[in-house]
Amino acid sequence: MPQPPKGMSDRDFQAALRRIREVAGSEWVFSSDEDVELYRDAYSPLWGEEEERVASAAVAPISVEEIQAIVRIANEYRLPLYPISTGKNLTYGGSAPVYSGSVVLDLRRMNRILDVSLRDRSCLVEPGVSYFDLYRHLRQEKIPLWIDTADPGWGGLIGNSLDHGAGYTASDFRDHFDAHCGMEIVLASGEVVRTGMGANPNAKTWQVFKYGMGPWVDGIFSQSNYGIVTKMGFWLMEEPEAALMVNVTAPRRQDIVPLLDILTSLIYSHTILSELQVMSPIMNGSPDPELVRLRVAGAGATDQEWARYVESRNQPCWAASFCFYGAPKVIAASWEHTKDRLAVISGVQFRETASYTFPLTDEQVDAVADKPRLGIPSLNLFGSRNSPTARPSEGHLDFSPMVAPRGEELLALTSVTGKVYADMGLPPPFVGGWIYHRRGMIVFHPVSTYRNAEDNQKTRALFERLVTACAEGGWNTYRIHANFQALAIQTYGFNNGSLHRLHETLKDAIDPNGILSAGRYDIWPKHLREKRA
Amino acid sequence: MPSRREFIQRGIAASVLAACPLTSRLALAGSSSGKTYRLFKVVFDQTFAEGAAFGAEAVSRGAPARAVGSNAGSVWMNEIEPRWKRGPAVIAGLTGRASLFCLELLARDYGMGVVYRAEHSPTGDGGIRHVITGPESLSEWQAESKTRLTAAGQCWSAVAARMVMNCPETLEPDPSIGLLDLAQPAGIAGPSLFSWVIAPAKRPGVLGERAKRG
Repeated sequence: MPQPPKGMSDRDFQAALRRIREVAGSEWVFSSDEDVELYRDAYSPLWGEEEERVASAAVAPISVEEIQAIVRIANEYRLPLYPISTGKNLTYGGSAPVYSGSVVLDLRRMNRILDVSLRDRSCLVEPGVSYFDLYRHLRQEKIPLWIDTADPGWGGLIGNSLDHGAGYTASDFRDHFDAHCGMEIVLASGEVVRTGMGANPNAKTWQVFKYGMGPWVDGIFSQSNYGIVTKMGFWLMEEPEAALMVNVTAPRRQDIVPLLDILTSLIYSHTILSELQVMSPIMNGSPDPELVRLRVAGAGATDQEWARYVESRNQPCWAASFCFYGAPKVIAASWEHTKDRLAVISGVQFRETASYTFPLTDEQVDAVADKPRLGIPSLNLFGSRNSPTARPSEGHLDFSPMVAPRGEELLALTSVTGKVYADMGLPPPFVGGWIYHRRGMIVFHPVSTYRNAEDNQKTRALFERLVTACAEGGWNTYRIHANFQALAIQTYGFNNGSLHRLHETLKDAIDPNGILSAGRYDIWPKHLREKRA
Repeated sequence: MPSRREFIQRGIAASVLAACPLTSRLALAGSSSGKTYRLFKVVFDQTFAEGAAFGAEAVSRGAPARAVGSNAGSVWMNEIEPRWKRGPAVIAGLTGRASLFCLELLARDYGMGVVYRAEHSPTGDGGIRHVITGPESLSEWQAESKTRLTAAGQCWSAVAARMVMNCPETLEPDPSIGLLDLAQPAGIAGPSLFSWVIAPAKRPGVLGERAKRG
């Protein structure tokens, strides 16, 4: 049988579950081994080890009132709860709690789309609403609005935005927390709070204006454990007339500097609206010894050495892809302007990869290759592992350091990560930058996890070295798997960790019994902090 | 009236059958005794020749087959999840590892689980290894399935279609069948394909018909 949280007697644990069953109905409280197995982190880097983070039980309430009653019971027993929305954020910890023995508060049944406003281009949803759900609703109702989907699309809007997830369409919508407008939260006390204009019971502008009056508190509920978000508003994108997907290549390694300088200028001037990816076909090729040597050498490798290598591969060193949205005339002008600006890079090449006019038929939707850029949820990330030539991958962790979108930064960071891999006798990782958020670029690469402890120990060591080495270089991860949150928070250690102490101060004030998501982003309640010290 | 896609698949099926040696044809001949699951959807990854042949066999036998390409996102969003929101319905298919992993994980939300999972892996010498996953109570049917798949040689995918379409209703999802491991096992020469059946489990899911507000 699943074990109760440390320090809690089985008698109290069972008594708390009995009380919760009275609130939520016994069929919605899950406490068998089989039940708890379903909440394991499928990609856990601690899979099968004693330290693997596992739940003791789960409860799936249907309403705010049930949640209020459950948190009041949890306070009585000091029972740790771990709220999840759809629980499928596998690379960052999935539905497994950070603190073993927590009871998962599974909000998937709360999956109503409460409102979609065509005129305000907004929606209001519950935590169980997935990107698939909202997209399907808009299609069925023929509402000409786009969502900005995470990839894969099985995530929930609320969970993804609270974890600072991002998507692929226009800049106003890609940063999912930035695109939210208004929240409803059940606090650890059981009290319900609405933020922004929603604090007026008669509000007509809850999803229109974010701030309301007084301090804007929404931010403290993201990547935190201060409350249970039960409703959230989001801004939606008006369906454009058309879209054009394009690809730009630049031949030389040093071209990354002007390439990103010009592309970011086009982003900041709103010529390019979409998410932008830049990859290196050369560096992501098979890791032959010369490539490994050049990548690990960093600044020690000359432009001439790189030029010789690149020439030998007969491929461009960089490929950027992005998308234009709008009226066809606007798209054509934007693309021409983009090409004019980039023409200063000798050897630059341009390619249109796909164009669309909207609305799309169901068959056309099915045929779209790059669905998330058109706000279409998919499971393509998994599908790419499914191709006849690809080796299916293990589970993985996302290593996601944030850098300024400059070529020099991309090169410097990948040199650091390449050296970490080399020091551990591993080939250098994938090189690519994603501009999801308004100003930052994520130089992401996946780190494999396994179902055996020996390989996972190496994975954890590698991941820890990546986090530390990149933070020393000035690049912190913006989001990280639950197993590494404590380490990552240490890298935000200015003034002897004053930010972390503020997080803890807030925790103690808002959730004095520490019942919510103990340990999430290394914010531990006082009684567990003292034990850990 | 078959669609263009179905027509093409029937053509592929005909060519596969024509290419099958007699032993494989015999392997196709058997069927399960007793009541079999009624399939709401049979999905197949048409990016593999074996997937296309599986689909063609399923179509030729009147199954509601759907080609999914290399990922199951579209069929999930447009067909399977809307159906499961109304209540449980059995699905089967032949897909790659990742698609099945996604469907297994999503199925859990709706109280559905794996009844039958067969891994078909190239061995490097031109052969195919078939490994059946399932609880002990399946052993007779597993053995039958394995025998037929092995006897079918290169025509195994048509047999795999037959097997999933003849999966007996007496078989239920077993908790001992864990979520598919995304890692490819050592010692195989290329990506595995999986034939599978997902049916209602005893344990209801968090979503689905039962989860509706009273």
